[in-house]
Amino acid sequence: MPNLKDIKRRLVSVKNTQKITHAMKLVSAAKFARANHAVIAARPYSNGFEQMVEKVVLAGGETPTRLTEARGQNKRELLVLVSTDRGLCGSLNSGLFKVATRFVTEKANAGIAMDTIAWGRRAGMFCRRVKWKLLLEKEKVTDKPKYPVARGLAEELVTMYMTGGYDAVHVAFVEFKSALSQVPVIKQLLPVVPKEATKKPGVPTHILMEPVAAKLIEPVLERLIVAQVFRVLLEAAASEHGARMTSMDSATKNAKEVVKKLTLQYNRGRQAAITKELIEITSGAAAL
Amino acid sequence: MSQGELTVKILSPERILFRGTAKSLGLPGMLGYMTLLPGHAPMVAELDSGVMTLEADGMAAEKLFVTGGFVDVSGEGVTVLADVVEKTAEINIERAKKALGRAEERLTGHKVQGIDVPRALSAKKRAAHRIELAGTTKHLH
Repeated sequence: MPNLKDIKRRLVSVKNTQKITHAMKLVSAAKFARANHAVIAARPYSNGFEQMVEKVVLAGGETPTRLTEARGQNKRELLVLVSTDRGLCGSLNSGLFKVATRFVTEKANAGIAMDTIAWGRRAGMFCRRVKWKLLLEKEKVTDKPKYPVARGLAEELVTMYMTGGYDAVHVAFVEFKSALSQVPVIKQLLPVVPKEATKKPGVPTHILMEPVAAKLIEPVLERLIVAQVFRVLLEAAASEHGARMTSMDSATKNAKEVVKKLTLQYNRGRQAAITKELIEITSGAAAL
Repeated sequence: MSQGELTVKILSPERILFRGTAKSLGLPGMLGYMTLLPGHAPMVAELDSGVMTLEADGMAAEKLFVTGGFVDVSGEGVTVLADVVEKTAEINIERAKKALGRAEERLTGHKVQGIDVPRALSAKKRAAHRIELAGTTKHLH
């Protein structure tokens, strides 16, 4: 039977932890609401953009541009790992790293070397631990994602792709489904594989292009990459806050359970001590 | 799209600026300003930075600042996919003035060599349009 004092001390500590996890949950809930709103606000743009890209590709013909043509001679590819900066968000990061590890192993088996870029401190830590070649590490990328930031990051990736001798650029991030479900995914960013443009009845294929289609397609694709990076950042942010919210919620619940158990134990111990004392008194009186 | 009106969506990556019908929409295209009217042929065009004029139904013409992006005109309407859209009231004129000063300094180029001239030029253009736009509305009030 543990000492009553010890139980009491533990009880207080668990209660304090519970307060912290509860507060973190509330903070994450507020941040999550904002991130969720941002994801939804960005949707019309990306939908509109996709429709437009489809049209431009359809009209622009099959001429490969520097962003779409397939390469395969270098046997080197780039992986951007988008993680959170801080932990305490359940299995969010470890799930992502598992998927990334599988991806890198598969590529290695095919004889393709993979360099990595970490967006988020956890990703950097992970890459160093498993000794992947880490080119760049950034923090606070998914902290309130802004479009200009996404543009800077996208330009950086395009430059690395153009000059660094990579065959492809992939991005690994956690796709946001809902507060309860986030799915780690890996998407190919470069070269751009435009969605199979299908001719829809009623949609005219002869559309005016200004400037001419051949000149229009590059800026469109450049913007497409920016839009994709922006989406990745938004989704990663929403996933992070969603995951932290749920994991802090369950931590609070667990703490509640522990408090219940400890209280019971404490009361039982106290009752036992009282009973013992009473027996001692009565048996002492009886001995007289 | 009916013949009499233009269905317009003005979107930036971060928000929806406008969704509704309009009489006309003036845009800064790469090859010059253009005005879209109801019944326009399908088109995709790249946008420059400049002033967008929206004549929404039942409202006075509104001027918006826009930088870069595209406009997609189809049978369903007009979708503006801009990098940045600002209403005149949202323009930070102080910031624009500073940006203009910086760009001019770069272009006169006393101290810096090997600067990105096109970039400085477009920065100057953006700032000038912002200042102009913010200035015109000040007069109206």
